[in-house]
Amino acid sequence: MAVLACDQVLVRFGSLAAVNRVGFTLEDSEILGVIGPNGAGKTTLFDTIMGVRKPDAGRIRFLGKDITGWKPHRICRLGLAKASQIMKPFSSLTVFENVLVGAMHGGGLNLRQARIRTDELLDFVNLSEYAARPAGKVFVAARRRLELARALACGARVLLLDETMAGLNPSETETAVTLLRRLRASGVSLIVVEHNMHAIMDISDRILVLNYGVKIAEGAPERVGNDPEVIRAYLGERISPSLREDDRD
Amino acid sequence: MDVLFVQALINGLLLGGVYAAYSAGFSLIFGVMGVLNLAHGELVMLGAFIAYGLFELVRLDPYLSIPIAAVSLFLGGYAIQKFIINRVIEQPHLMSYILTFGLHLILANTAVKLWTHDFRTITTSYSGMNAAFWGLNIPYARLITFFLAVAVVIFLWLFLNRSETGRAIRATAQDKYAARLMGVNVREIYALTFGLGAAVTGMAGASLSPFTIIFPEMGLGYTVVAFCVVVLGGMGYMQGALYGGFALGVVQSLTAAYLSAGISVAVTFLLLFVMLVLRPTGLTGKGIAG
Amino acid sequence: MKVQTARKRLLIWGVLTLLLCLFPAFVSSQYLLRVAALIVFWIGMAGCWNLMSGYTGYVDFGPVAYFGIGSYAAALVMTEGGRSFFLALPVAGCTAALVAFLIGMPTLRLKGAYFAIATFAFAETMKQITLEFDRTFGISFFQGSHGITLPIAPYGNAFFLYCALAVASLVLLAHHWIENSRFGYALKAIHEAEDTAELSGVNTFGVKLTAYAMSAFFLGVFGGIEAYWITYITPADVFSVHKTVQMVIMTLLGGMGTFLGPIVGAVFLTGVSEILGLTFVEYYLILVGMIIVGVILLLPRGIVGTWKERKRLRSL
Repeated sequence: MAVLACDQVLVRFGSLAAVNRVGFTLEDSEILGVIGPNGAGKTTLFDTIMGVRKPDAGRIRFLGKDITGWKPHRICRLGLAKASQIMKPFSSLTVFENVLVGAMHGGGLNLRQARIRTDELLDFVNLSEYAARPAGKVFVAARRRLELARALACGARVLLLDETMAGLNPSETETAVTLLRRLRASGVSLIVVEHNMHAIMDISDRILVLNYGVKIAEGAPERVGNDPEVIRAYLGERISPSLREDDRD
Repeated sequence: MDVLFVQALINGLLLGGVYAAYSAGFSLIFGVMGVLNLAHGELVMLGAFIAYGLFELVRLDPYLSIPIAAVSLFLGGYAIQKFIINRVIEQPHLMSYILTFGLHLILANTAVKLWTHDFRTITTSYSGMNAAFWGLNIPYARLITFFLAVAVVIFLWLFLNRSETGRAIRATAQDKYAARLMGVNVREIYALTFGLGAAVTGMAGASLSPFTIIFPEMGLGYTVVAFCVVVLGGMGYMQGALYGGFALGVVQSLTAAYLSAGISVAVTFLLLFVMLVLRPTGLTGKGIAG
Repeated sequence: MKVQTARKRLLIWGVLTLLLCLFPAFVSSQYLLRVAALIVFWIGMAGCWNLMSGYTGYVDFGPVAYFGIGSYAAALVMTEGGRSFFLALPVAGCTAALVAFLIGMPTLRLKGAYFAIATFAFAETMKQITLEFDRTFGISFFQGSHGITLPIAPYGNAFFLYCALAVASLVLLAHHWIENSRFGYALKAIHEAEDTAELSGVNTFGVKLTAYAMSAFFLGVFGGIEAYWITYITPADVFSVHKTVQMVIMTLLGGMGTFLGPIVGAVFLTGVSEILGLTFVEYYLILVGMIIVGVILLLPRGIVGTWKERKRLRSL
């Protein structure tokens, strides 16, 4: 059974369809990459899945439950969480406390249990040394890991990652990619939106391509990378896994 | 048609004109800077006192003190924004509300200390004169203020849409970061905007002086009405001050005529509350959303 | 570290409470007892505002609505109902909390300025309703501007000192609980970044409503105490915006969202107003205005907040 399923999701802003009858499924322990030009509807899709926005039509099912129209906090507690660069952290609270909030409320743990879980998670994402620092005062790469830790603290089975690798240098990106792989290995499914083509092609099991709110391709990275319509809409030149071997030199 | 009804309607529209006159400035300031100017009523009070003072001193007709009130309040407002409010403008808006509230306390109570609690009025040669026909009564003074209100809103609209500074103000209101990148000095624009809002409000205060009771603590009531008017008409929407003013004026007038004056105040607040809860963008839907 | 601070807080408050309890045994001046009661009363009131607005950041300009509702509820229980003061108080609190629950539902969907205006509008509406209700519907209930006269309390100011102390202690206990609990973190998260909080599993609406109703409950109880204390209430009195002003500036001066903030603010400002006295109301208000402007420009976190910030920066 698919862990997450979107069925004909339609989101309109006035007469413009930002997400136009998009449907897809996400399997267990899978990384689904979502690509598309800016304005293609990726963030809107994420917002809709997370309950920030109600779709005008279509259904969203998570672990078999219909979560369409649910409030975000209920969706989070069920095990679906989002991390994104536009989500402001709790700036005056420490890094530790940021994750603690997720563990207590999203994860449903009491204060004592949540503290233990937070320690574990900060260790997992390598942020333990910054635990006492105010979240507003950590550098970008650490911020990203913080968002990830907080989302994980919610006990997430599925993570929606919206451009969480933006602003990272190559080595930081490499670290992020490794972290995501470890997550997949631990049973978490991911939907990743990125503009970093190499990273996303590298890490994804399947790729979904959106353009003007419409799904124009879906499948294995090599196939999608060679799809003429995708190339026309977005990629501009052929990107295939084999190319990356050459790039690494 | 029932004369009582028509008279109440006309009273309401004239009252609405008055409301619109002194609420437009409030809407402008909130619309551009997000500052809820809780000292707004004091601007009206100062305008009225300027007119009163000049009338008492040199028998200057209150309508002629309108330009003087405008200039004085422009300068005062400009200074307040530039040297005081601008310091908290980058912080959460809550800070600016409380700051302006502090200014309200200072201004109102200093005025009381300087000028005592006494109620004052201006009686000119034309004070009690009305246009009377068809059993209706239309005081000239209020009629003049009505037209002034419309003129103010038209002027603001023209200024904001047709002038260079006006465009800069609108740009800053929409996206201050983008405006800054385009070379707009945002702090300066804020100071000008507050000055403009204050000037317009001061003018309204002066134009009210022929028929309203003038006293230092009159401000709070005006601030509250301004809230209602701009919420009804739509925050930040200039024409909304007119629509909101008329709507409020008519509702109050009709309630007072058919129920009681006391109830009309209750209705005002109830209307404000309901409006905010159901439709914060105002009757026209053109206001800034929460 | 957190546990130590919590213990210290409780200790300080415990000692103060003990001293205040013993105060009437050593002081017989009704005036001094009244001032002491007043200070404790305002600590509690400021604390009520802090519970909601200080912690969540939602600026409420209408807390006096619940104070007034409590006053009237208590007054009516004691006059129309003929019941004792000790029954009137919980009724006052519960009535206020119930109304807060109903009003909070539509109002808490608003943000920033709109929430502030809406809460203010509600408070003024309550004032107008109690003023005009009887006259409009031709009945005798709120008594309009005539006000309600309560049975005279056979106790002196010491009694009210104890009442205020009891309720203020409950308010501070609520603060203490908030400072280190799941609920408290939810409030802080909402204050910092509400959208993120919601997406992190915090039931933002439920939490806000709870804080709002909790604050309203205590405000209602204080309203009941005030009604019995001053024996005669009118709408203009108990729904007066000045009470809101006091609550706001005390908490602001002391430090929003802190435990000690309301205490510091209340003590300072009550002291100042007593010194300036009733004859200098305008000077007091001008001073208050200047304090507000000063605090906002120079000490936005209030006295306690700024001190905590400096302490934290020094330990880094």
